[in-house]
Amino acid sequence: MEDLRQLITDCAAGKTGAQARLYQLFAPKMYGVCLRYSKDQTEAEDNLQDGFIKVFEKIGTFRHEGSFEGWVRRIMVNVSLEKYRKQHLLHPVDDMTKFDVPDFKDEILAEIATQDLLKLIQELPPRYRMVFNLYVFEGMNHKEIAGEMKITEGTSKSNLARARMILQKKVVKCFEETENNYPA
Amino acid sequence: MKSDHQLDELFRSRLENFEQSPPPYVWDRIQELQAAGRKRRLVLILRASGVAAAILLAFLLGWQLQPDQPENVIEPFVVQQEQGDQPVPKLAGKSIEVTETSPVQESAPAYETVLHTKQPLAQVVGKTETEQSQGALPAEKEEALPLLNARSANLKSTTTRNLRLDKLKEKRQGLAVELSGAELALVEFNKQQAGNKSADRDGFWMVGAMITPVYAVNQSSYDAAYASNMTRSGGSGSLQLGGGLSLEYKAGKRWSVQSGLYYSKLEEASGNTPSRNMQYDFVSGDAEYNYFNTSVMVEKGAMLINASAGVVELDNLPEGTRLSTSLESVQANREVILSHSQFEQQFEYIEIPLMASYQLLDKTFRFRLLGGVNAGFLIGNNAYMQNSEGLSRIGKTKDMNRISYSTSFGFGLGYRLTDRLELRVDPQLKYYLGSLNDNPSVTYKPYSFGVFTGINYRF
Repeated sequence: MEDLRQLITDCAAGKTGAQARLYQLFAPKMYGVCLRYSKDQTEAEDNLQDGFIKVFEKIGTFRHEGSFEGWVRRIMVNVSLEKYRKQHLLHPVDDMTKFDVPDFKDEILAEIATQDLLKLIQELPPRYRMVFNLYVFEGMNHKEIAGEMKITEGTSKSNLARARMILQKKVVKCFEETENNYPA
Repeated sequence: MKSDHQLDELFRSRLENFEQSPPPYVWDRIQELQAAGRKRRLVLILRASGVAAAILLAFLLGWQLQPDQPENVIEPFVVQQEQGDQPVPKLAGKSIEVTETSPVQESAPAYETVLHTKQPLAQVVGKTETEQSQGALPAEKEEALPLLNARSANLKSTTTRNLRLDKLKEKRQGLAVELSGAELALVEFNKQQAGNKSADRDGFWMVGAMITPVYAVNQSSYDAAYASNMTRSGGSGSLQLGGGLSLEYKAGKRWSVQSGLYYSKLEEASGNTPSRNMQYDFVSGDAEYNYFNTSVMVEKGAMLINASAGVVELDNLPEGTRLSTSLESVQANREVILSHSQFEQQFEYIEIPLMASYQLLDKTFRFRLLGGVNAGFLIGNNAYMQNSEGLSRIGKTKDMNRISYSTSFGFGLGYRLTDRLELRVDPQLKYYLGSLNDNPSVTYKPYSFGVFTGINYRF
């Protein structure tokens, strides 16, 4: 813990060696975060790069209160959101009623690969992907999501429902393909 | 809903702590962008300072050249005597005649000495009379008394109680007034001021000898074709020592013009081309050489390297250099130097500056602002390669301009050792107005920070 504090101080002083160590320490986890918010690897790499440049710029303002990893993660999420806002301003707003999603069978959970799940998220339409990530992984409620994404709470709810529906269908389909390709 | 929760939980549990190593080039890109950002900030600061210095100099010049400049006005010094009812302290041997200050007043008519006193005037005069030991004429004193008494009656009726000594002096040239030590010092200072003013008004020349440590930072841009086969720029700046003779003419109290003859050196370091930027399909040779490679172009029998300050034309290859030729590549050059090496391009200049300076402080310490232009004449052009065998000259940089122009601005600090000798430290920033290289693919415009340190002799 004390090491991390020193590392942060050195990074704030602009020491390149410290920045490289900090990057090594957090890049894999943050790349995982960026991958979830992006449509593909290239976009995730760009976001990771922009995120770390921002981290090194702002690291002097980190007050050592709360988790540093959370702080870095928040920057990565913000970079992804900013990019989303720039690229997808003109997406039509649609409100949907509640969808019913059928229950999973337990074996699906065990069989499906993590990379496949990641791919399913990446394939979601951009706004559904953002809302799903913010709700499920950042633990935000719809009010907070609506604030972050400049949409209404209703839109946030319907986007989440849509995302779930798409994922649900794809998970089942993915499971079936896995079953067929690799028969037990 | 149970199913919603189940789906969310499936993704959360599997992807919450998901990690994947990003490709190595992401970190390279971050470093490059950070370095570029730092450079951009520095250039912005330099440009802003340049503009600010130019505006300041222009403003000061305009102000200085204004007609009817009231140059002779010196702020009046007010001598305060807050004595209340206390008697005037007796200072044996400190009494002087007011007439002593008259030469000062002749050269600076606006100069005034005002005696502010709470003590009744009659008392002051009385004490002056009793303590006066020499230089006063008793007959004139008697004439003065009724006048002064009448005046003191007027003062009593007003609240200011100010006594203008010069008015008094018109009536009583011979009257001596006792002054305290602080007042004496003020009178002396005023005399000195008036004296200095007339001495400084005449122009005079100064010569100086300077040594100049200069820190130069590269700022270059290239076209895409050049950059794709270019050595990796060193990034950081280089520290070089220069020096020369300065000649300065001080035209007035504040303005002076200076020129001189200076030697200066620029050095641009670059390393091997990073392998990931090279478009080679295959690089032969031992594994240890594969990463380190520098693209070489062969043109009309000459070997050329695209280096960061311009194209280096090789006339020599140092010992221990390995080459690989006829590589299969579409975009990049087919020849490569396969050894870990650093390249240095050195340029030597004789510079003739034309600077204006504006003096802000002129005491034992001098402080002034400087700004102007330099013409630089290229007198040395060499390229070196550093490898495991040491540093060797390999050739020179092509297409360098013989004359280049730059702007300088900064400030000057001086310390007067004697009347004629002065220690000088002038930190200055220099920014080239155009590329030092004539090659259309390269813009090589370094900026430098130098500290001109030396001695001035006034004659």
